Formats: sequence, C-alpha cells, structure tokens
Amino acid sequence: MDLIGLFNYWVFIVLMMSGFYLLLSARNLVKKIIGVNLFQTSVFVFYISTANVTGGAVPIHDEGIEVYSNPLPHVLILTAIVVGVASTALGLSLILRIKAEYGTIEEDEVDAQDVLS
Amino acid sequence: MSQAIDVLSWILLVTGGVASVVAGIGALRMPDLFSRMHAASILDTFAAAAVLSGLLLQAGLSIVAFKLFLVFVFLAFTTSTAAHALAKSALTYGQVPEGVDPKSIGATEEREYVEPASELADPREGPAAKV
Amino acid sequence: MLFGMYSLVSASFFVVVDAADVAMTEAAVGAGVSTILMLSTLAATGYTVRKRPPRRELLAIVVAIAVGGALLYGTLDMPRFGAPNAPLHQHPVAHHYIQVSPKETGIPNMVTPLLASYRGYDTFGEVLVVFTAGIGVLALIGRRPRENGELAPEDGFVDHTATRHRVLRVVAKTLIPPILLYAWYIQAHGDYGPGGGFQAGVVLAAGMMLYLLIFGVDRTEKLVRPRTLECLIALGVLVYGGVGLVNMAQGGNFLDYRTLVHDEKHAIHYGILAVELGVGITVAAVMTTILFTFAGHLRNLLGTAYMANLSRRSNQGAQSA
Repeated sequence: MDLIGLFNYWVFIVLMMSGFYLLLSARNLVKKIIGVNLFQTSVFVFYISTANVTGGAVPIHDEGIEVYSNPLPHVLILTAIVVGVASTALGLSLILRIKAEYGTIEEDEVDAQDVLS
Repeated sequence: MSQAIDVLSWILLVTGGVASVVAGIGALRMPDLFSRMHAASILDTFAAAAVLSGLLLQAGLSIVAFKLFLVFVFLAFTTSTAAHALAKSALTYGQVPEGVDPKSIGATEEREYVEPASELADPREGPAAKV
Repeated sequence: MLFGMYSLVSASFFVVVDAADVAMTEAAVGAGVSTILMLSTLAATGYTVRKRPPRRELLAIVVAIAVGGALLYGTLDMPRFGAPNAPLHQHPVAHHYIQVSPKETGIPNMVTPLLASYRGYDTFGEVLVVFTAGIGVLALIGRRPRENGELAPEDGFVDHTATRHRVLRVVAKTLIPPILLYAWYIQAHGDYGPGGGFQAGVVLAAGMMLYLLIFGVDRTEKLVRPRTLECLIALGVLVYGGVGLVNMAQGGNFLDYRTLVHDEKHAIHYGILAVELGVGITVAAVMTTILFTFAGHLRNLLGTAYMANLSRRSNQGAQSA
C-alpha cells in the first residue's frame, strides 16, 4: 500500500490536532487564537495539497502546457485566508476589550470574575 | 561555456547554503543579543547574495534576472533596517553588548518596563487622565 | 514571531505545489498583517505572562488523539498526493475551468475569472465578511476620541521621529512608494499572473502599516483620514454590488457580466476588473482601519506615563541617529 503518498494528509492531521488541543487547553486567550489560526492554516494546507497534480503547472494558461493544477481549491482557499485574517482581527479586538473590562486575559480568571459579579 | 556557468552557480548556491547553516547555528549559540543579530544578518546579506547570484547565472539575461536583482535589493534594504531597529530598541532598553560599559555609550543601566495602564477601562475614553 | 515564520513556510509550500495566488495571499496576510495584529495585542495586554504550571487537560488530549485517529483512518482511502486520476480532477467542472475558461473569458490566469465570475457570489460574500470584520473592530475598539474636532492632545509625548531614527525614516520613505506601486501592479495584473484584489489590498495596507510603525499614529492620520477610510470600506462593497445591480438593470441575472457591453467576452472581462477593484478597495481600507484602531488603542492604553517614560529614556539613550 503506497502509504507515503498520504504524507500530506498526516501533516494536515498533526497540525489540525495541535491547533485543536491548543484551542481546548490553553488558558491565555491569545494562545487560543493562535490555536484557531493553526487549525485554519492546516485546512488550507489540506485543500491545496489535494489540488496538486504531479507534473502540473501553475494554473495560468500558457502555450504548450497541457497539465495544470486544479484551480478550484485555490479559489476556495483564497477566500478562506482572507476570512481567517478577518476573524483573527475580530478575535484579537475582543481580547483587547476583555483585557480592558476584566483586567486579565487568563481564561480561568475571567471566568471567576464572571461568576462573582 | 555553459559548463563554466553551471559550475560557478553551483559553487555560489552551495556557499549560500553553507553560509545559511552557519548563520543559523550562530544565531542560536551566540551568547549575546547583538552577536546573535550579527550572525543572523549574515543570512540576509551574504547568503542571499550568494544564492541569488547563483540563480542569476542560471537565469541568463532576462526579466527573471531583473526580478531576482530587485529581490536582492529589497531584501538588503528591509532586513538590514529591521536589524538596525532591533538593535536600537535594545539599546534604548538598556541592553548593551557584552563587555561594554553602559555609561560609556549613554545607555540606561536597568531595563524598566511600565505595565500598561489598566485603570483605563473603556478604550474609547482616550488617554489616561491620571498619572 | 514563530507565527510569522509559520506563515512564510506555508506560503513557500504553496509555491512548491504550484498555487501561486494562494502563496501570495498567505505571505502578505500571514507574514504581514496577522503578525502585527498579534504583536500589538500582546503589547496592549501586558508582556509578562506569569509562569504558571502548564495544565494537563486530559480530556482535551484524549479528544484530540481520538479525532486525529479517526481522521487518519478516514484518509486511508484518499487519493495519493498529486494523483492525476483523483475524483477532484475528473469532475467536469475542473475540465471546464482549465480548458474552457481561458477561451471563454480571454484571461490566462484561471483563478481570477473563477474567483470573480464563476464563483462571484462567494467572493461577494467574502467581501461582505471583510466589511463586517472592519465594522466589528471599529465597534469594539473605536477610534481615538476627538476634542472639538481635533485629534486628542498628546500630553507628554514628544515625537522624535523628525530628529532621531534617521535610518528608519529614510528607508521607509524609500520603500513605501515601491510598495504602493507594487500593490497597484498586483491589482491590475491579476489577469495575467498571480494577483487580484485581495493581495493588492493587503499589500497596500502593509505599505500604510510601514508608515504607521515608523512615523506614529498622528502623522499617519493626517496622511489618510480615518473618516475617508471608513467611506472607502463601504465604497468597495458598493462597487461590487453595484456591478451586480447594473447587470440586473440591463436584463440579466445578478452578477451576470455578459449584459454589461455588447461583446460577451469583453463584458466578462470588464465585469471581472470592476469587481476586483471593489474587492481591492474594501480589503485595503479594512486592513488599514484595523491597524489604525489597534495602534490607536495601544497609544491610548499605554497612556501618558509610558510615553513620558519612553521619551525620557530615549533622550538619554543611544545617541546615534
């Protein structure tokens, strides 16, 4: 079984699970945002690696080139990258507000203050 | 003739690679911030020049060669400036190169950091009124 | 820092697998804007993270490993990396995009008409998402308050940029015009090479950010008024939706560019150019606005004391310019 051809999926799974674990277990809110970003970029790697065709070229039409990489996942991921940075910016501004309101960005301290008030 | 160009570009590329590894090791193992910065800046100038010259020889005289040259110009500009800015802020905060007396170059002695004002609750209220 | 390196490495990976547009976007967005946002958030929330024992979340580890295992099992049936006979490449849509779209639209880059015309609704939604993010950041953090219509006074902060930091000033002034020109080149050249609206908008924002970092928030606000930026955010979305409405007014469907002018091929080309322009305007304005608000918040939060401290210390600090 030609398992080495699955290498790109393993990379994607490792990255995704690292981001997932970081998201679940980090106390500092900025680290959670980093986990979300790690998760998102792993999905980008997955899609783009499935779009690759061995021996294909960049999807820009040129004379004499027959095989191109599939451009459809490229388009989806272009959208996803920009949406990712937009949501990161929103998440970080939420963190700034949380810091201003609660004085801290550690998750358990924010939770404690929420319960008491 | 093309053999000579190939050999020359091989030499340049390998030199660039070796310089990168040396710079990386230096950036990790040097004792001081400034020496580490110097080691890392070998990458931007020497290694980049070597690798890009090797690629230039392969590209011949074409638009690609001009783009490579521009890449090197911008790389040299930006990374050197980044190293400069880093060194400047390090000196402002009182970090001096090893063995240098802080007073002799006018840097402050201790490194203070002022915690951002947390009394400012609403960021739309403006600069902190107190302090 | 590692974050920026990670983005750069993914961008290089994208280049290696022939995804040029995506690599450009990832490099501009990840290694540029995202890193600066992270750094300013960290600066605004305090550098010092108290050393606490790392918490071992057993449940999270178990869940992560379980999900990872399930995904691993699921990928055993997936097509091998680069296989030309994968179902993804056999679908007739892929064939249409690769073979027919250069002839149908006259645009060599296959990604641009795909983005702006074949999947124009998705791109419209995305422009709206970027617009919403810009509004959200403005609503959450807002701009610096004005007194009597003037910018808030800068007590205790002496702007040293004019006298010190000569190297930084000169380099910034040398680099910013090529950066802005390059942004416009990417915008205009998106048909023939990697490029398009998003990359152009982000590179333009990066140029403004360079100016912001070196010269400070006040001078940048004199250069580009935030009120103008807010209008530009809306203008880009309006251009995009406006093209769609013009199409409807001329009897076609929403965003069906063929009704713009008489020649179908040219009409599609014009439609794509117009919507890419709208996308570029909105993305540039939103990114710049986000950076402005973060920088302004940082300035407000750090307050007078920090700035006075910094001025005093850079007065007695290193003397070289």
